[in-house]
Amino acid sequence: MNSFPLITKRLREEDISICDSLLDDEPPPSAQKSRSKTQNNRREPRPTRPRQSYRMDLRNNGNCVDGQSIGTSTSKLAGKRKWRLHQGRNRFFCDGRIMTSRQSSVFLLTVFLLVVTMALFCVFDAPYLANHVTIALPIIAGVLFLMVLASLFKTAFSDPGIIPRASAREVIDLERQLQSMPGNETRVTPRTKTVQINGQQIKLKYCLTCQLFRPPRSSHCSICDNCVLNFDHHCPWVGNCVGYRNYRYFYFFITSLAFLDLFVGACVIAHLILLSQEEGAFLKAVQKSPATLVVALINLISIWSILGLSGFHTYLLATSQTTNEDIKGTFNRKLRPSVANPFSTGNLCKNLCKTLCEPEPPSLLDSRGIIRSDPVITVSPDIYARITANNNTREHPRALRRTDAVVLRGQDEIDAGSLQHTTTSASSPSNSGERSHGGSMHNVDDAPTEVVIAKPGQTARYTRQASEDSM
Amino acid sequence: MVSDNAGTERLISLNECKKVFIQRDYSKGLTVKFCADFPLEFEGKIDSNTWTSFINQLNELYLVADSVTPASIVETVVGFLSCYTSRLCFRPKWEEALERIEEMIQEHNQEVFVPRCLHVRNPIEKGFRVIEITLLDEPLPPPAPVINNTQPVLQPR
Repeated sequence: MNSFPLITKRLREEDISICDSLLDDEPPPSAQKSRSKTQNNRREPRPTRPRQSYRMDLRNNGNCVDGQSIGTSTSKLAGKRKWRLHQGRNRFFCDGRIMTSRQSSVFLLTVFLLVVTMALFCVFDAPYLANHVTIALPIIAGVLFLMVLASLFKTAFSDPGIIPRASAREVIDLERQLQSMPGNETRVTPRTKTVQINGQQIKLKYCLTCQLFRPPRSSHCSICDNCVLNFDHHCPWVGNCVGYRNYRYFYFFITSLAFLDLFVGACVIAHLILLSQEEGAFLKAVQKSPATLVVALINLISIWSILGLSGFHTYLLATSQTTNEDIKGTFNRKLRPSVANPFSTGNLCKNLCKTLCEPEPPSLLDSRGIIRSDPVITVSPDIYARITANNNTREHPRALRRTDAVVLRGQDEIDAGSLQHTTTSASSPSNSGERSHGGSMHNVDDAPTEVVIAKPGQTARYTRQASEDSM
Repeated sequence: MVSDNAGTERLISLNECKKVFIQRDYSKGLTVKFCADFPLEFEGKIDSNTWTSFINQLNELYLVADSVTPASIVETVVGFLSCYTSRLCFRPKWEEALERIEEMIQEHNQEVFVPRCLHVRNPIEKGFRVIEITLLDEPLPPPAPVINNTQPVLQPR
């Protein structure tokens, strides 16, 4: 499987560079390393430009960091697609167009069962039915089968609604907001927050892995290690999570599979009955066409679970709940009589229509986007003069002030949960307390210049530097 | 700080400036909506009505993008019946909406925000978690030197 050229797994940094060289027909990294040793030590900026209209920041020329501290991966990954930097446990194929979870063996079993059953049906039952009953039967079965496969692939290969992990700047800002909220004497970062949705109080939990407050109805999938919007469940049969973006395809898959199951089941039973009438005995009919019995048995075994599942999901759709919420009893009237479902419109048909017929939401991962190592904007000279006029007393920040680990990531911001390095200096708590406004945003004028961003499971701590030029 | 190519455009690195983050507003459900509160950091830079009208305009565009219309129903039904091959012929509604939003943000950046030393980043780049606004005239101070942890900060007597 590893030698198949289209398949690229999420790999470590070294493997990524090897894969890149294979994809781009570059010489392998070992050859490049030996070449670079003979050249001068100062590393040139990588000439490859990302496709968007961003250019190199000219101000960085005077503060060029020497080649030792810029990781080789950034220069290799800049200009590549963003799926390479995805931190969840997913696999990407076709350069980011297709994504699944890591474990796909049960999904392959699903496809195998479907294809084999339909193949047996086509070979052994379809000719008989076409000749003795009508050709429409195999055609309808074929069309249903195509719809089942299309829905299955659409569910299995699309992004279920993964929320990209928060950047370090956001984490810092959020921590600061939460710690300096009025009433928070111990300055502990709370891990839940309550919001009001359509009159109902809903608690949002903080995800330590993704470093964000999960939106309502979202949950963290432990198998894929991602937070997913409107998380329903992780389906091993489909090899992917079922969430906001692919729930309708999952629903179409199980309902069309239920129809297919019923239809093919009826067809093979009709075939067996007709054969028995011809042959005189059921056993003789089976002897004549044993595959028909196999198909019938497969159908019989699977029909109960498929019908049950489609019925259950129709109920969930009508009451506007996810499997997750149903299992936990979040909106269960008996368990919590005072809680009303704020996401339900009250009308069963409207709920169905809303979930199934909403426009297909975009993928937040942007797996096919290009990695930009340092976003810059272009401004006209007079605006630039105005911007920098206020900064005469400030020392210009050094370019590429970020640490090696950040630069290695190749992203424009620090990835939360992936770094650790030391911090310094005293805190000045008074500033942000005065400037807070409704707890929703905070000034970052005394932002730390270096931070400790703890690994998941730890609270990020930092101390703020007393600013020389207080605002 | 003399510009050696005066008269031509200059570049500003967004990561070297301070940022403000506007959070999501879930009061009306799960549709993409951002808080319309006026951040204190913008005082003196931009009028609060201008900012609030921008946010309201953005929220309105997201609401329209997410709404169930006959077009979206047809898109779903035709997609299902055609085994999703209709996706190759017709663009999804959300993509068109996202393009409109991107244009709107670019236009506002060019005409309203950048002249006032602000830059608004498209929220989809942040996964609809936050709107990131860069304060272009407030660069981050340079990092302090790292303390070597093996040496104690306070010398014992």
